[in-house]
Amino acid sequence: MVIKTLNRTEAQNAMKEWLSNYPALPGIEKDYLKIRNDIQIFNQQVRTECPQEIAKRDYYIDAHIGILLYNYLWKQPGFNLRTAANDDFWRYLSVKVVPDVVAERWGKDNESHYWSKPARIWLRSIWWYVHLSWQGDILTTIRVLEAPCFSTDSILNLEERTGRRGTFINVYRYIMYYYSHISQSTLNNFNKNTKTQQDDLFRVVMKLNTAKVMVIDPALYLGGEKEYVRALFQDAGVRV
Amino acid sequence: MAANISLFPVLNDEMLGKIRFQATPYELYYIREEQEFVLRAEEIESSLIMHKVIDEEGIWSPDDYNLCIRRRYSLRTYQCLFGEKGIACKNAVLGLALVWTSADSKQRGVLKIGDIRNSSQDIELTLNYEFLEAQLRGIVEFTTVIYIKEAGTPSWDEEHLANEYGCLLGELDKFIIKLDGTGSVFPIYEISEPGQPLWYVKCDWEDPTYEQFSECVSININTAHKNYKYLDKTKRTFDEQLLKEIMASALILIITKLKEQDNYWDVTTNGDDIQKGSVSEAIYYFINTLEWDVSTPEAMSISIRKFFEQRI
Repeated sequence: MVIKTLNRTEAQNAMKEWLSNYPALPGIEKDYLKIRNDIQIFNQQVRTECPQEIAKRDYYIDAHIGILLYNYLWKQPGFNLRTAANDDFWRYLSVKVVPDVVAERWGKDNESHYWSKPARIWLRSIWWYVHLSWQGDILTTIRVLEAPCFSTDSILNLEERTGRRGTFINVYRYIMYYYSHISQSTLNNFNKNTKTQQDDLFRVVMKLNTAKVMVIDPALYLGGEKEYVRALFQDAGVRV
Repeated sequence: MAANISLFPVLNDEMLGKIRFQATPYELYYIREEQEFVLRAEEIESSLIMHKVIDEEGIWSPDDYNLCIRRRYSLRTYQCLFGEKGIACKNAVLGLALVWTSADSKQRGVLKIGDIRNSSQDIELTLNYEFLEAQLRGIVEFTTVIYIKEAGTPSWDEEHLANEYGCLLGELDKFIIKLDGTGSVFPIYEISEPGQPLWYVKCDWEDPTYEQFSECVSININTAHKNYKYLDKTKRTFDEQLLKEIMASALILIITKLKEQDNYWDVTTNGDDIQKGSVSEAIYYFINTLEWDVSTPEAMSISIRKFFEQRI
């Protein structure tokens, strides 16, 4: 696929155009018609398979569409990390290719999830959520993402904290791994003992990390990123 | 280093002078058909540390080829780094490393260069590293640092020293490359919105220390307004003074808006830990390099207008 992009202004105009022709979808090239079709199919599939009685329906949808999108895009020739880090590519995908899929999750009057706020562009954020949680293969990753401790808040927390000096990808992957393996009773206990009873362990660990990377580079820590992350949990008072 | 207050001694200028840290310029190259091809790093806008990467042959691009870096380092008389008046215990091992960070690529990492042990030998080290094709985008910053490679056993006069594995003890130098982006485009747009004023400003940021100035700030000139003819450079009616007035007012407004956000304002004026190209960086530049006086609304009004009178 040829990587297509929209800058802010172009995205804003394309969004207006889509809305004024709604419900017709924007005209795009053949390559991207195929991509549109494929994404629509797995969007439907995830929504149909989503158990009715599930408590965190939005999270289920984000995580599952995220992993399918992640897997799908890597298989597209031309897609690479540079593309994934390019907000303008996500704008194109959101506004031109599958605005209907984004609308099903966020409604169509919600420009921040399409193009205006990079950290909130939905497709971008679920792709990166999976990338920062990746455990080497789909099954292991989905097992981590399906842990009951995660919610749409986790996506925000992980994504919005990615640093202004770049992201320690392995550190995030280990945090996701260890956090998903902590028992629910340990987590409940932890929350009960915090001052506000609201600051959950995930947020505490993320904050500790933000403070600690100022002085210590995780990859230079004894035992590398893995031991660095275990020490973060230890500092928060939880053994992993 | 990002930490503003350090709880332990870190590298200072005096030590820096003593250790006679010397390094060759960064060599950039890429590999094609198992051969090395040289890339040139060209300084951008007389900045000493910011560089564009140029391939004279026009073949290399960050999407299609890898990017390799190579550099040689030497250190002499670095014994002062060890012991009570230094930065690490006498029997600790220090390490030299290259930290690379890139918010644009959403990645960062660290490359170990070599060990510094407490001895009198001269140290010669080489770093050679390959970034994969299409791994990096935008701005990538390289910072040479010294860190605790192996903790030592502090003697009674060394207990104030950092002694934790991985602890960063100071920066030696910095080198920045820019792989994408046109950079400092001033965000003025023409719009056509009947019924709206001749111009208006939009400040669409949540975190100004991070979000790009050119992305979230816009000065909009309305071509549908009856007085647009005074701003249309193709017409004889074009009035330069009006354009300057608009620019000055818009910038005062943008700075005032940021000033109302106490936390962000402090970070902006300190200039620490702000993203390249962000709103804060732009304003930091206005204040420190262009020497705009932003202490009061009146001072701001005068100094910004003086700037436009002289420069444009």
